[in-house]
Parts: sequence; C-alpha cells; structure tokens
Amino acid sequence: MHKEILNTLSVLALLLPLQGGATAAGDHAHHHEHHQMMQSVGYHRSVHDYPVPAITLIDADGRPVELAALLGDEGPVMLNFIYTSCTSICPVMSATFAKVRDHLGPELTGVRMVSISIDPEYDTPERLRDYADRFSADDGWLLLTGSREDVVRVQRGFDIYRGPKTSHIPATFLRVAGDARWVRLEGLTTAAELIHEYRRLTAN
Amino acid sequence: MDTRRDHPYGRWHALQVVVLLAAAVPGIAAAGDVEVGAALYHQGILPTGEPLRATVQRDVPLVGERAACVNCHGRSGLGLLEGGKVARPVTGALLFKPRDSRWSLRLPTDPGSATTRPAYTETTLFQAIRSGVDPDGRMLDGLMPRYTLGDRELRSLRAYLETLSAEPSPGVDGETLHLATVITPDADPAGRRAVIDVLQAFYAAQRAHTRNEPQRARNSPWAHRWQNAAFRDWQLHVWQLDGSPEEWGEQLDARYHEQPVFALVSGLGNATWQPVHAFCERHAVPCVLPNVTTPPEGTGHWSVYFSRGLPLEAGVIAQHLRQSNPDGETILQAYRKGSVGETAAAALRTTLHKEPGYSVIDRELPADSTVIPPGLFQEEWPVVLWLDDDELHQGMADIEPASGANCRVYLSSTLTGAPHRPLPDVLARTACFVHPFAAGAEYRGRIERATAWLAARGISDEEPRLKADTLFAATLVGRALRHLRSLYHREYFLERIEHITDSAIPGYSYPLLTLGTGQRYASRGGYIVRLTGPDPVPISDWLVAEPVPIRSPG
Repeated sequence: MHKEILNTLSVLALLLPLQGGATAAGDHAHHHEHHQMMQSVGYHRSVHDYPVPAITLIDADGRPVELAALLGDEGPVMLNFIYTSCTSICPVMSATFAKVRDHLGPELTGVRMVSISIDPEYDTPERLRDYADRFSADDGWLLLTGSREDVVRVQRGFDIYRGPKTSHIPATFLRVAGDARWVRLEGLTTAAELIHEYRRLTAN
Repeated sequence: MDTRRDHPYGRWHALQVVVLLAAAVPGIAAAGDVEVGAALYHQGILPTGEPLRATVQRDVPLVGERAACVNCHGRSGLGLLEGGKVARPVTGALLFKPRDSRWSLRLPTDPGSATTRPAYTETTLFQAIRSGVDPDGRMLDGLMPRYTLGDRELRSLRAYLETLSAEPSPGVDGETLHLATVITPDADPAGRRAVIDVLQAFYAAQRAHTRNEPQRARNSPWAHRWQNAAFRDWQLHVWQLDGSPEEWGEQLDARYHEQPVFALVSGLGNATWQPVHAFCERHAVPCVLPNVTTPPEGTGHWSVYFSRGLPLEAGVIAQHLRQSNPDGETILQAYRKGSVGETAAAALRTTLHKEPGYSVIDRELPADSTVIPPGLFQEEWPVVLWLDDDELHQGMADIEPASGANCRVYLSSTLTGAPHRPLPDVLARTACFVHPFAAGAEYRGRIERATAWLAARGISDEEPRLKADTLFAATLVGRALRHLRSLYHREYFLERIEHITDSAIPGYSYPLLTLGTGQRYASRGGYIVRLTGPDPVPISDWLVAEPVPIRSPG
C-alpha cells in the first residue's frame, strides 16, 4: 500500500470526531474510534503556484465555463479530478465533497466546489449530471468536462497528469479569494481533514 | 452504459430480493443466502430492501449502490487497482486461505510486495468488514468502508463470496486455452485474409516464445510455481460462418459445444454483427474488438468494440455540418438498400432530425444496380455518400461533383477503405472523409508499428489499418490473459481489458482507445479529413459523438 509522507501539521486536532458527524457502527463505536486515533494522516499538504490554463470547459448542463474565471473568481475554491466510471477513489472523493458540503452548511456560502472529469469523452454532460445527482450535488458544486486536449492541459497545470486515467492520483486543491497559491492535499482525506484544511486556509 | 445495471443481479428490484428471501427463509439463516449476499455485493441492498450503509475514510458515509462491494472489488471479486489504491481479492477461495505473496499467487490487482496474513475465518472476516481489522490485527486502509451489518447478512455475504469466481470459466484446461475468431460469410475476402493472416502470425509467434514454458511449469522451483503454473498454450480457432444471419446463432452454438472457447478475439463482419454479439451474451463469452462497422448499440456486457462504427461517423458528420453552417441546411444522402450504409443513413437522419434548420433527403439506391443518379449533385446541398469503394468506382465514372471550401461531398474512410484503397480520381481530390481514426503523420506512425512487425513475418502491407487493429486486439487479449495468472475467470478477464486498454501501446489506427468499468466502445470521435497528401489531412478538430445515455431511475 502506498505510504504517504507523514504531515507535520497538528494531527490530534484533526482526529477529533466531527460534531454530529460520522455515524459510527453501533456497538462498535468505541472500538472504531480507538482505531481511528491510531491512524496517521493519509495525505500530504503542500503549497503551489499553479497556472490555470485559459480554456473553456462544459458543465453538467452543457454550458460553457471559462476555467480561469471560475477558479479565479471571488470566494474559496475546492477542486478535484474524477471520472464517472472510476471504481474506488473517485466515488470516495465525491462522497467526501458531499459530506463536507453537508457539514459546512451555511459556512459554505460562496465556496465553489469543482470536479473536473479526466475521462472527458465518455463523461458527457448527461453522465456528469447523473453522477452529480447520485451525490446530491447542488449549484455550488460544478462537474466539468471538455476536450481531451484541454483536460490534459489543466491536469498538467496542476501537476496531476499521470497518463492513463486508471493511474490517476487522488488529490484535492484549495484556494481562497485573491490568493494565487493553491494548497495541494495529495492522498485521500477524511471529511474532517478537508474541513480543517479549509478553515485553516480561510482563517488567515 | 453501466455494466452494473446490465449484470444478472443488476436488474433486481429491492422488492424481488424481499420476495425471494421470504420464500426461502426457513432454515437458511445459519448457512447464509447466496442471493441475499449477491444483492449486498452488487447492489448494496439489504434483505429488508433498505440500502446498505457504511463509513469510508473514517467519517464519510456511503449508502446503497455507492457502498456495494462490487465498486472496488469488481464483478469477479478478484480485486481492482486504481490510482495506486489496491482493492484486494475477496473470493472465498482466496480469503479463507493464508496469503503469502512472497511465493504464492500474485495478481496484478494485488501487487503487495511481500505481504502475509493468515487465512480469514468467519469471525475475522466479519470483524474486517465491520471495523476494518484484518486477521493479524492490522487496520485496513481507510478506503475499505466499515459496514453496519448483522451476522445474518454477513453470513449471506460470505456464502456469496464462496461462489464468486469459484470455478474456472469454460474454454481452458490444464494445458490449453482456446480462443476463436469469427468471420461472417459476407465479410470482404481481402479483409478475411488479412485478419486470419495476422492472428495466425501472432499465435505462431506466441508459441515460439513460449515453447519452453510447459517444461518450466513442470520443473519450477516451488517459489515460482504460482507463476509458471499459469502457462497455457493459446490455441486459435477460426469460426467461418455461412448462410444467412438467422442461421449464424445455431452455427456458433454448435462450434462452441464442440470446443468451448474462453474468449473471441478480433473477427470480421459486414452487414450485421448482431448474431455474434448475441452469442457472446448467451454464453457469457468475452468478445474483444471485432472489426465491424455496425456493432449493436447500448446493450450487452460481454462485447467490447473499437467504436460505435458508422452511427458514430454519422454523429461526426452531423457535428461538422453544424459547425460549417449553424443555421442549418438541406442534406442529401445516398445509400444502397440492404447495405451497412442504410444503418449509417438512418443514424444521420435521426441525429439531424433533432437539429433545428436541418432537413435530410434520402436517395435509396436499389440493391441490384450500380448506377448513381447524376442528379444527386445538381443542387448546392452537401451530399453524404454511404457507399464503398467498389460502388463508387462503378457508379461514379462520369460524375464530377462541385468542389469548394466547404465539404460538398462526404465519404466514409471505413466504407471506402481510404486512404489505402484507390478511389475515382475526382472524388479523392474533392471529397471530405469522415475518418474515425488518427490523422496526419500520427495515423501512418500508428499503423506502421504493426505493419513493420507483420512485414518481418512475411505478411503483406495490404489492408494495413485492418491488420494493425487486428494485431492490437490479439495483443490486448494476450496481455489481459497474462494478468489472470492461473485464475482463468472471464469476468476478471473483462475487468482487466476495461482497465489496461488505456495504457496499452497504441499500435492501432485510432488516436486513443480508452475503456473503464462498464465502457464498451473504446474510441468516441472522428476527424473530417481530405486526402490531398500521403496522410489524411484533418480539416476539423477531433469531433466527439457520444450518444446521450439512458438515465437510471433515481
């Protein structure tokens, strides 16, 4: 199993269970949390200056979206890369986005969540709509597709292009308004970790 | 298309599960109910009809279909590897056996370098599923969901896992793995020779490479036995069909009963492939990348195609027309009655019918005449000719269509064999071709990869595109077969095809073949090209024509 570099941030703070969060498995709740405490952070955090290419993608309703405007606009952004026929990682990343949306509630106003398909020819707007519905994505969470060429460009821009789509790596990118720098969270996060990273970024 | 919905268990409604359970309840609780387990595994549905619930990554809830085991462990239960994350095999045969990957079976979906664990017992399996602790007391990755399930449901799941990939699929024994290729009687004779020549050369080369393998398997040191025992001699059978399409199904069944095959590789069709497609579904035989122009659309689990064929080409032409003239116009299309062109014409008519401003006029040419009415080109309308090279040579001798900056005449690269077969000079110079392949120098480069290999084996350079694609199909099947190690299960084989096509060396005529779970058409677009130089010159972007999927309820 791929071992991520242990992060230097405050591990304990992250591991506090979410208030009203996960529904731990009934009788096993205590046991479960005990094991959670023993786990290390499963992602690596770093900060980068990523250029957003001047490309136009298509949203799940078939409307054109200027990517640079979308990602550079007012309000914080959470970005990831998925595809609808992905077996294990993407559904989990999307379920994590859904949980974060659910948990942040009103705090989320103005936050833009963006998921870009890395299998753009198969992932038509219709397939993205279907996928979005499965995760109850609302207007604040955009799923995007486009030409293969453009989608490769944006992946290269975020240093996440690994060739064949099954070789993709899980990562989430965060940015606040008016700051060119992106926080890269490589690996899979829990919802609590993602919320923590988001609050840490927006608190500054 | 979503395979899970097409799977035998995929069509189940929760209610049916409840009814089945109610009918079978007395006495099954202790042993576990395989059908209940299957509904959990594939659908994420509990025996009560409620959705399965789990928590993944410590605090992320998964519900129902999203929590189903099949998502990560696959239809075969033999695991998947995605983005560097391993979902281990969960078949009963492998779970309830100690694992030591230093000298036992090492699957490509389970590449751990030297991991060991004791055999699972029912108790430790239930513990792993509920709380993520493996038999050694180690925590499983956070990506393995923790499930809220009672003993009774888990016993049913366990009973299902015992049946999963339990028996090797037909078509393979201790020494030989049988494969077949199907040629329909209406297939082009030159194409037939090309496909058979390439496949025979490929399997002869395989046999030469692996001639010492049986001995190696017999005399293996114990630490390598898991690997060497996997060797099988790959034997190719050519199934030449005859008569009308209605008779093919029976012929295929007879050949299959005489000698079951593990999979169909490549093949060649013409007017219809439907009976072969139906055979693959009927016997659950993977049918990989036949050379066909009109594959059946939107149905089926077991066949994988290069593309949607002529209906895709119609979609590409429709997009190009829309780009050239967004306000719409009248299109004239000609095809011969009873030919594959008829299917293509129907697809273009349907597509353009939905576009405001476009109207389509059909000119159906009689099946028994080669004449193309000169009146076709009298108007200023774009003309789409769904005709092959022979039909054009015979019917177009004295006709000179108008040329211009826009495309006045569209032809199909697939039907005409362009740029490899000669065409009437005037057409070659003036027509636009819908070309669902790579273009420019890339096209030649891709194909030469294959033709160079074939030339070294004395095989001619005629039909180079067909030969390249046939060689690719055989190569891909070979790579997937090697991935199986000694676990010759067709569902696992198909999962390997779904996952390795993207990363295969592109020795095919397309820009990129990609698949994924449930995907059955590997290329999804085309260029519009002109044949003014040695290579097809693109005059459009790569135009994607993926049909709107049928939406799942809910």
